[in-house]
Amino acid sequence: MRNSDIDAVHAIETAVFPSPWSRAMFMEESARENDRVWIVAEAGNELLGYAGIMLVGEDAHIMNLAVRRDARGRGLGSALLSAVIDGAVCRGAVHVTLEVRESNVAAIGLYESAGLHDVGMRPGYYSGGGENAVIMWSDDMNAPGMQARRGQLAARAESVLADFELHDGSELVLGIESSCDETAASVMRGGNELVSSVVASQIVFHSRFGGVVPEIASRKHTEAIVGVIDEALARAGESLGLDGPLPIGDLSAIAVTHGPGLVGALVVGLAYAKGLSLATGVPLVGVNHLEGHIFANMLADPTVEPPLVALLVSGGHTSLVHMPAWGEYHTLGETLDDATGEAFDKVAKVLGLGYPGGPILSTYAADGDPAAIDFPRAMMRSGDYAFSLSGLKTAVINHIRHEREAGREIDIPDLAASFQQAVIDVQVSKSVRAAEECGVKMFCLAGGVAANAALREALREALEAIGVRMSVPPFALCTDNAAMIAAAGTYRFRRGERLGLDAEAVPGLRLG
Amino acid sequence: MLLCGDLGAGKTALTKGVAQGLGISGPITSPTFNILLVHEGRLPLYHMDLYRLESGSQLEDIDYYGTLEADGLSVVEWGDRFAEADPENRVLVTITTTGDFSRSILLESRGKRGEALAESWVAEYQAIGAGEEDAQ
Repeated sequence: MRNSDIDAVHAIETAVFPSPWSRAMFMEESARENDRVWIVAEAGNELLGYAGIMLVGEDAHIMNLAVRRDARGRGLGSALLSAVIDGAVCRGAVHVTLEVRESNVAAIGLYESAGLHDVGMRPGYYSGGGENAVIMWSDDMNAPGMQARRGQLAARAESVLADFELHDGSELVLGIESSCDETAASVMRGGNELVSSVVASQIVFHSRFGGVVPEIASRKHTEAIVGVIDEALARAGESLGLDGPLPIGDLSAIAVTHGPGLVGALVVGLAYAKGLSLATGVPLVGVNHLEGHIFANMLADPTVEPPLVALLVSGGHTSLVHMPAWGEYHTLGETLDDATGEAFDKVAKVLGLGYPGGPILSTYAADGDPAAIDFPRAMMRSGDYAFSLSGLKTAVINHIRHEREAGREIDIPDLAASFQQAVIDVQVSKSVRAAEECGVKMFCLAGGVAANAALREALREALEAIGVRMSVPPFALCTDNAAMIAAAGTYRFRRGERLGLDAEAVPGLRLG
Repeated sequence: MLLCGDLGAGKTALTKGVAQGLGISGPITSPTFNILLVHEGRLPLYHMDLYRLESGSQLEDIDYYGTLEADGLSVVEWGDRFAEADPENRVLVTITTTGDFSRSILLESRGKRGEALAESWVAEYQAIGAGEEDAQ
């Protein structure tokens, strides 16, 4: 039991006992390391029960044991008892004793199963009604019979814990994403099982929704959000085999992107999520959009876990992020000017390939010579993890101008391949150095530009050469979606993180 | 301040200079994707980009007019894209690429406040020693 557990412990205590211990008593107990053993049971982030034992020479006195009402009937009390007795025996206890209310038949049965037996009575022991206490003692815990019994209890405890492990991963979390162009909603179970995922622009759902495709404007998000969330809940209901849409009350949490992004877009998802939370009492969790992109990797491949380095490349972002542990992020470097996807789109525009033309440019690049034109590799040797793509964009534009002025035809495949190679060289070089310096064996590529096959392959090859495994999500999870927000939100929910109803959208939200 | 000029002309680069003048320390990244980036300095800098907008009617959706009337300096890239984006008082800055490392910059003011601003910039430009003929 840590001090941080005491609020949850005390909440259970006051809910289950007629004359509960005070908070101060638990504080005092948790500070006593020499003559106490306190154990708490947690599933995910939820504290479900606790037990404490006092050591007095060779005797161990069980002081308290409780299981949250909604977690009863699954053997958790027995598991806690087993853990606390074994803890005491390890510290030299030989006999275990306790008092229990005469009326608490269930508890008496539990203690008997651990080898304690009724040795007498303290009349009127409990205050407030003066109920009798039954005094129970165990035989020598190290006697062969008792050892065997403890072994059985411990084995059962393990299966109980495995059962909780199995079920604590079943939270249904609604994710809401509206940080830029996409309005999206998704329901995930246990943080890694996709139940439903709806992205407004990719879906034609005229019947429920009038066929509006939201774009830049927050007004478009406003028009889309109700339909998108309804659709996500409806599809979740279908995939869970319910008669109708998944009721919001069945959700464990609502996770929403609160930054970074366009403020007018972020506020739509955030305001809607707050409203849902306020009206239904379902807790609200805030997610960083970039963190969501990292979680898209874990969704696609559950073996991906920190420590890792992630490269996030999209139309709006270019960042290298170190994730040393769950929930911990350090941004190593970002672009100083244009984002990677933006540079692709703008070069495509100058070549008359339309906007957004990044994917078209990459298609041309596949047929070109990447060494045809020597474009600058900006920040390649800057010694840090910052990126700059504006200078490269200008160099490409200057090249096009020179060629046109000289009356030469522009070889689009060669130009596209040379430009793309300049981008790739810098990103691979910085990614490899980041993986080496952070000492990680796992690397995640994320964001819409992860769809670029040349970048993906160059990165994979360079990283594998230094023994680092690279993960890339499938394309539908690379672009903005809400499944990744629900996944990241589930994790934050389990850690007990909540977003207040007074929270504001943070357009410049940083990741670590 | 409305900025116009082709891709790569230096609209964002010029805005970096403006940000430096306002004492803003963080990086000034392209606002193309986010449409609006806000930087805190001596005055707030509202760095906007109309490149991705499809019609002038979307200006209201991004709270363009509200931002122009806010308490800071609005710098709008691709500010000449929609007639509706042209406010009563402004300086329109047109950047033209004249070579790999050279640009010509044309200031056009509108409204009393716009005129006063443009005149003060020209005066400062002359004060730092630039030639008279450059500052027409």
